Amino acid sequence: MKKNKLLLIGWDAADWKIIGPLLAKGEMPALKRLIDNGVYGNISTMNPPFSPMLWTSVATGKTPDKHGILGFIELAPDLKGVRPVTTNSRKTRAVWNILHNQGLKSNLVGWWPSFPAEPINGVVVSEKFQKINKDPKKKNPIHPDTIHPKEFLSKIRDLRLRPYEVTDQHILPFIPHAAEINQEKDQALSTFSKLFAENVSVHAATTYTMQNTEWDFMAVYYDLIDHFCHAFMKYHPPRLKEVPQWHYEMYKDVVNGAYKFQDMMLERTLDLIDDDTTVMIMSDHGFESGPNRILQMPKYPAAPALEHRQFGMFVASGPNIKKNEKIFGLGLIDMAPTILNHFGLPVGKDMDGKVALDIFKKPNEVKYIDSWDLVKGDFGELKKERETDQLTDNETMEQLIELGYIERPDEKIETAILKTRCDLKHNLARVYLGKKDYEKAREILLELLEEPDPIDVIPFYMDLLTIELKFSNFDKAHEYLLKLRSLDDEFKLTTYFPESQILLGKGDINGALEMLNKALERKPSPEIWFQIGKVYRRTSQFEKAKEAYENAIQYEPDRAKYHRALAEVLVRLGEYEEAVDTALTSIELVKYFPDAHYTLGEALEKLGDLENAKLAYETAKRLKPRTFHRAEKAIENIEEKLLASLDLTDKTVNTYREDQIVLVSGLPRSGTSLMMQMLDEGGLDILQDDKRAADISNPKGYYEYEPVMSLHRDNKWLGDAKNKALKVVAPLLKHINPKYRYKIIFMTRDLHEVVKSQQKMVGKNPETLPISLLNAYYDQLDHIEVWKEKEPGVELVYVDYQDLLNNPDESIQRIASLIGVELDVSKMKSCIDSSLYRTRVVQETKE
Amino acid sequence: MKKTSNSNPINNYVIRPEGSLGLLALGDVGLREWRKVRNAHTKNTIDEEE
Repeated sequence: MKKNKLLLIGWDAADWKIIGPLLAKGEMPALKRLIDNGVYGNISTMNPPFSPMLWTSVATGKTPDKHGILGFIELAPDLKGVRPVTTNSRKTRAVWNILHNQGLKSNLVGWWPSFPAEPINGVVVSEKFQKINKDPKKKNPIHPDTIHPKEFLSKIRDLRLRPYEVTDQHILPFIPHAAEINQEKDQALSTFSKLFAENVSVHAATTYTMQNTEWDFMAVYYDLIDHFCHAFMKYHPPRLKEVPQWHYEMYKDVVNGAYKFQDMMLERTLDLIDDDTTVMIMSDHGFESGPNRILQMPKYPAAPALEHRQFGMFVASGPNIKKNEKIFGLGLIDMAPTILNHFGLPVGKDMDGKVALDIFKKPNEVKYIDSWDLVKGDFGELKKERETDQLTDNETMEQLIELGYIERPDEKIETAILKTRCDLKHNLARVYLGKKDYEKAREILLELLEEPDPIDVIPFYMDLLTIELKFSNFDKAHEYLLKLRSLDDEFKLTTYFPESQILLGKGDINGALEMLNKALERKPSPEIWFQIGKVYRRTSQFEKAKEAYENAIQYEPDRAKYHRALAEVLVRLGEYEEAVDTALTSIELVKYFPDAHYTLGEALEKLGDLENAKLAYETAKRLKPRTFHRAEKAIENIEEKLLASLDLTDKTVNTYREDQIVLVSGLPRSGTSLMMQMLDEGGLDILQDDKRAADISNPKGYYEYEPVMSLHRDNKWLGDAKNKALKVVAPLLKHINPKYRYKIIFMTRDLHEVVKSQQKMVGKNPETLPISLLNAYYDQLDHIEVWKEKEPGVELVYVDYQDLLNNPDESIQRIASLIGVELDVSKMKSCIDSSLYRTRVVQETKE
Repeated sequence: MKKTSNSNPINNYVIRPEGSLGLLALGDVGLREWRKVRNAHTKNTIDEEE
């Protein structure tokens, strides 16, 4: 008997949202037993969430750009046709190849894709085995490459259930009133029988293989839940108002039925293993079961994936697995490294995943190898590309078409090839989008725009629009939006989000809100409320933001990002205890959520719980894949506070900080140029370019630096300002790079004077005060007050222009104290004297 | 978790020609035993050499 065996069971699309209530009602007892004896949690999916890509990531520990499976179909090797995706498209070794090389036996049943079967040490029953035509008159020969070793076929040949063998006893538990269905009009029973039969066949092959072979690792894949959800989720309770009552009553039990039957099959599977076997059950993504269910699928390739949710489910149980613990932060790409580690094998450094050490009682030491792909030897791989089915693999193709995953290939073969090639390339771009490698994604998408007719370029433009929004290139994004509208009027309906983002980016807050409200009127959704909340938050309308986020949560209570956003707004509103609770809810939903930990830190800091705030900031910093500059600064601030006496009112000031950047800010005509001149005279280095010449308004020059003007697009250059002073106008302050420490001298001046001075400068009547401008300035000053509190790297003092002129000693003292370096005070004062003199001369001239 | 079951799970079932979900959930053994009963009842077999 083999020891330390590992059984991996894939339940495509299984989701805790459905499982939870069934567990509570005792309707998934086998899974419940595993959970009670093991660990459970979410597993995060990847984009785009297409199953063959995802299950190959599970098997390889790599993202699709590395493993090469980029969709449901592929080009045939002779480039003369298209076919369902095969093992041939995989360009890296799967975990079973590695186990083969290490002398371990693996069984594989139904894995997608695993056809043609690889000649590994063990048994492969590929996903082509269970495909049977719905028509009883048609023959269903089994392709010779379906099963390895070939002689195993004779042992399981009879284990395929045919759709037409399915009886009312199989159907009625799912569809109790099936007899009332008019099967000429409604194809649901036919679909049901085919999907059900396929999964029974996979299960029968699994139980036979488990009992009649020796194995170390076994992986089984069922698509029952995913396929049933795609076909029947729209009828799942609660009833969507668009679904007719009759249809609802007829099919409302199918989804739950799929989960319960899956559990029945699990029960038998668990009967066939011993206590020394570790079991892992996982899904590749979740499935939307709430108000976001899609009733009418958009017509573009792989649209059904829109119904997939970000988190799948994971359960593990075994002798070295912890008991009854929730685990966090698992991703699909962690599975292969975890399996290798279970068998004491090294993980490839080229794998994107990591070993899920948290699930083990006693984790094995993690060993590494550069790449398993570089190791020479026998890996049980296919020797050469085979001329297997092209367009003749009708069964699989038909099913993918029926499920809506692919369009029916064009009858003109050249067109089918062109469309497939473009689809795969587009998927690769979307993989890069998912990995936030926007440059690579953009490069591919721009290439795709050059493809000839009949390639539909609309999806490419949609992605390009998203990318330009990520880069804050609002003009370019607008250009793409107009292009999309010119290509297809219908797309107007789906461009509310990007359009509102463009408007927001260009400063048209009301326009953005109007756009989102239109979307809300059309079909309310939590995401629209979330976007509305973001607009209000950005404009410091925190009460309204709070309300919008609360609406989003009401629609979808288990989205961590909504709770985090609400928590942050509660901090700004001073509702710190509620903010702590809300941030904790967010963390409970997604523990590995650095921003939620950061917000929790902010709220705790405000409550004076500095020790726990520090812990929260430290967690946030640790979880962020890149440096979390704000968390770093916040930790430094807290450490200073803990060392000093307890002072909850403000951040610690008056310390010179290494490589600090001194910013002079304020509204135009509030004395910023004078302050820059003073700092210059006082001995600070100034970052400026003299591109704006001195004039009557600022005879000593403006002390400006051109890159500041586009700070909202690029703030990487701010490092050039370290240990220097730089002028940044107030509206741009929020775009500073959180990587650095800032000492900000914010100039204030009576707003009426400011506006008068500006009117005069642009040649308008200084006595006519534009009220809207005045109000906008009041708002900006309010924003600064909130913003300075939330930026841990910022220390800010307000310096009133009039005070500076009237009482320069006191102001200069505060400035010197803030900056923390020695300044030449007398030279600074001389700037004020000459300014006063100039003001006096101007006034006398006027008189 | 249960130990490997040595007893034949089919013994717990009364197999009827129309079958049941429980039988199919047993995998290979359930499918084969059900077909035996069904085929004996209907005198039909499916050509496995297709």
